[in-house]
Amino acid sequence: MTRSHARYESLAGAIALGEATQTEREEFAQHADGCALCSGFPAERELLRTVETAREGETWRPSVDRIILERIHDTQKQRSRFTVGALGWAAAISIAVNVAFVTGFAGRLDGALRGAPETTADVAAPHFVRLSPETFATIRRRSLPRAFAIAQSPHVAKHDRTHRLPGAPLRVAPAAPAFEPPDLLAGLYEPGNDPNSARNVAIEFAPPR
Amino acid sequence: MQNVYVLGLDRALDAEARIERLVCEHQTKLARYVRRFVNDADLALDVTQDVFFAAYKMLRADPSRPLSAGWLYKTATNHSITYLRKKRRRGETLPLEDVGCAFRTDEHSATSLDLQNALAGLGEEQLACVLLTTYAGYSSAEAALILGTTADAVRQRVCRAMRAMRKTLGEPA
Ligand SMILES: [Zn+2]
Repeated sequence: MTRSHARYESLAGAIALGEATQTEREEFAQHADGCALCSGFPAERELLRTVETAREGETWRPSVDRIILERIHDTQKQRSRFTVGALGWAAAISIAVNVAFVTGFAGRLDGALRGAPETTADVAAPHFVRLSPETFATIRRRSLPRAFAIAQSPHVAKHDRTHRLPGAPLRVAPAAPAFEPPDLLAGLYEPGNDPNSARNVAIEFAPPR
Repeated sequence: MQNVYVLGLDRALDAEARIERLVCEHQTKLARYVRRFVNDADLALDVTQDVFFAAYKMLRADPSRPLSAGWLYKTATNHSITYLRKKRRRGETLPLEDVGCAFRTDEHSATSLDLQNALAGLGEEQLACVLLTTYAGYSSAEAALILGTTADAVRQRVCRAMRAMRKTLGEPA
C-alpha cells in the first residue's frame, strides 16, 4: 500500500461518511476509474449504509439508572461508614491513651519526679525486670557504686529554676529520700521462676540506705 | 452531533444529579453501541454501568469537571476493545448462528446475522471507527478525538473496514 494510495482511502472514507467536498469526490472518482482496489467502492458504501439501517431496527431499551444509583448510594454508605469507623477508632485510642496516662503512667511519672532522686538506678530499674538474677548482680556490682556515689554527692544539685544571687552559696540538693523499688514485682515473675527470688532480686537491687 | 461536548455540563448540579442526567440521556444509546461492539447484551449492560460509575467517581473527585457524551463513548470503546482483545487472545469465536443471540426476537431488521458477523470479523480499531461514525453518528473528526487519532486515520480505517466487510459478505443484494 503506497503512501499516495492512503490518501485515496482517506477520500473514500470521507465520501462514505458524507464529509467530502465536491473537489474531493471528483479527485477520488478519477482515481477509482483506473484502480482495481477502489473500483468496488460504491458497493462498499452501500454496506456501510446497512449499519445505519440496522440501528433503526433496534428496539432494546435497557435501563441501568436504578442499578447505577444503587451503586452510588452503596459507595456513599461505605464512605460514611468508613468515616464513622475511623472517628470511632480515633476516639477509642484517645480515651485509652488518656486513661493510661491518668491511671498509670502519669501517676508513676509524677511520683518519680517528686520522690526519688534521679539516679541511674531509677531510670534503669524498669528495664531490668526481665533480666536474670545473675545479670542483676553483675550490673549492680559494676555500675551501682559509681552511680550512687554521683547521686549522693553534695556537689550534685537538682535543677533549680529560682535565680541564685551572685555570691550566694551554692544550694545543695536535699538528702535523697529512702529508695522504694518501683511496683514492678509482678513483672519480674515468669513461669518457672520462683516469685520469691524475683522479689529478692528487686529488693537486692535497692540501693544501700 | 452538535452538543457532544457540552452534555452534562450544568456545573450547578452535584455529581449525583449530573450522573442521573447523563444516565437518563445516554443509557439506551450507549448500551446499544456496546452491544453492537461486543455482541453480548449482558456484557453491554455491565460495561454501560461501569462507564457511568467511572463518570460518577470522576465527577465526585472534581465536580466542576466538564464531562461530555464523547467521554462516555471513549470509555465504553476502551472497555469494549479490551474485552474483545482478551477474547481474541483466548481464541474464542462466536459461531455464525449465535452471532445474533445478543439481539431480541423483535429486532429482526436489526439482527442481520451477516452484517453482525461481518462487523465481528473487523479488527477492534476498524470496528470502533465504523461504529463511532456510522452507528453512533460522530464525524470522523469527533471520532478521532474520542480515539486519540487523526480524522484521516479514521477515514482510512472506515475505508479498509468497508473493504473487509465486502470480502466477508460479498456483493450486497
Ligand atoms: Zn485505489
